[in-house]
Amino acid sequence: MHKLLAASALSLAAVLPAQANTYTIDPTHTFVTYEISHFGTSTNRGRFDRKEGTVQFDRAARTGKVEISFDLTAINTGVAPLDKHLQSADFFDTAKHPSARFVGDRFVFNGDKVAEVGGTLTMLGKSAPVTLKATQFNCYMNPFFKREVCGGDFETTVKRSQWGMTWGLNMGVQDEVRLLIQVEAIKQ
Amino acid sequence: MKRLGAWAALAFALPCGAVAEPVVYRLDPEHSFVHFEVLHFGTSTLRGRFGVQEGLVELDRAAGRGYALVRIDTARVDTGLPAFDARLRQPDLLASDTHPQATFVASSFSFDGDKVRAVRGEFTLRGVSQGVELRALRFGCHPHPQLQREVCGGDFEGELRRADFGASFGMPFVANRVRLVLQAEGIRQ
Amino acid sequence: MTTKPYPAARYDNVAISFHWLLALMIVGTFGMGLYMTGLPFSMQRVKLFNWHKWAGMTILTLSALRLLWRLRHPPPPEPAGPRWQQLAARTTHRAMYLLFFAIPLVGWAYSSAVGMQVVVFGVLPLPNLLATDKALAESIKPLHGWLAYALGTLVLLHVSAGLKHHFIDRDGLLHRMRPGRS
Repeated sequence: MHKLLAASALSLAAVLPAQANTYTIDPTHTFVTYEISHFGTSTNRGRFDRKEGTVQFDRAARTGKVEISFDLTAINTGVAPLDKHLQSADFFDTAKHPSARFVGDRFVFNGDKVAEVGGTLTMLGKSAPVTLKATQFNCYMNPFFKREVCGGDFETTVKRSQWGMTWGLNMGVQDEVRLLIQVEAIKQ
Repeated sequence: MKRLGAWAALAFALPCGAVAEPVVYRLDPEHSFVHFEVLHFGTSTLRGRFGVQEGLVELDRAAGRGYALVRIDTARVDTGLPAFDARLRQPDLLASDTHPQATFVASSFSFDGDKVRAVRGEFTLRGVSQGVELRALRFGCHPHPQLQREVCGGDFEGELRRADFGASFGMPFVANRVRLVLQAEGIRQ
Repeated sequence: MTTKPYPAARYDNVAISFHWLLALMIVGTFGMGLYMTGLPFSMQRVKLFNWHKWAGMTILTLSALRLLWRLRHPPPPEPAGPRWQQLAARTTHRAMYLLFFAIPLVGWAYSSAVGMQVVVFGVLPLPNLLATDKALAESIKPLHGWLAYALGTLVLLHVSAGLKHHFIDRDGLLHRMRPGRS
């Protein structure tokens, strides 16, 4: 009898919504910076200034899901003509595809901390897998809005040709792009 | 008196100029930026960027010597958040109104053969000067695709403690230690 | 001819060489300091600041050697004259010697406090006199200039006094420091 009760209790727990906490991405502390080698000499960088999204994660169950979209028309390299060129059909083609979206539902935890997030990045109408590795992860109580904030620094290296962005590959412009992601999300 | 000073300067310059083969490079503003990184609540990294208003580098590889000067417009700090940029310009941080320029001046270069390995110079921010060392993460040269001239440069990193410059607002929530990441490409003059 | 004969007393040739070499270097370095601080932000300014530091360290070294020489080869006896004049001369010379050392040392100390190690002629790194200290650097900064102006004033006094002795008192004082035969 006890064994049956115990088993039912366990299965009920599995079915009931776990401690899946929802966090809203704080756009003032979330940025994606990309890095790409320039003729092997130095590194060109750009930043995506407009984004929004949510994160859900459950430390106990070691699961999570993040959905974040970026406004590609808000790309910012510090060089205005380059911003324009990047938005053209040669690169992001923002007239047809104004945003990029990352959905990550494969969360890997290291104890309490998120160590890795695997998911899919959709851009230029194509989707490809991307795995973000955390170089830093932490949760803290924000003294200003008195809510828990979780976040960290993530990075990955992708090949832009996977999304069909091939301009310049034959001219020495690199395929590999490193992405540096700062993210902070506020508990709801 | 200033003329005499100029002559005296020349007198000292002559022995120093004896074995020199200096090459001057002017930093290309499209490929020269000073990025800064600072830790926020021990959790994630805040980044911001400054363009290079003026940059000159003189390299004398044969003599193993170099000079550099870089000028930054502090009012044009760019973090991607206009409100944050405005906050940074305040007197207790960048103090852009009273100190519209930050400068880096260096005369201590170390080389690894033909490549610059490190540069040690004086960084001046808010009128305060402190020594900063920049280490090359990579250094190289390539021909400029349009100008048909040599371009040399690289990526450099260094760090400073902002409290040393009197810009300590926000500590300890926002770290004292600031990492500098410089992209620098100079076009041969 | 009514000019007085050469005084028997004269500085030795080494002392005379030190005097004129350092006089030239000190005036030159002072001029360099004035000129370079007036320059706009430029490569020329960067280089001059460097050369100014190297010149300062050279002056410091030569002054030390000069002082050593002077201690082992005492200068000729003071010329006859009123007591106030002898006191003034002695005080001025001592103050000048003090500044020959103080000025480059303060400059070196400021460079150290700012965290900019002085590397003489780009090859010889000098130890930092002080640990990097922003507050200390700020307080030392104006001192180098003030002391240099003080030395400048003493030099003008020194030169005027020498000319007064030689052309007004007509006591042949400048011959004591005249390069040439002993």
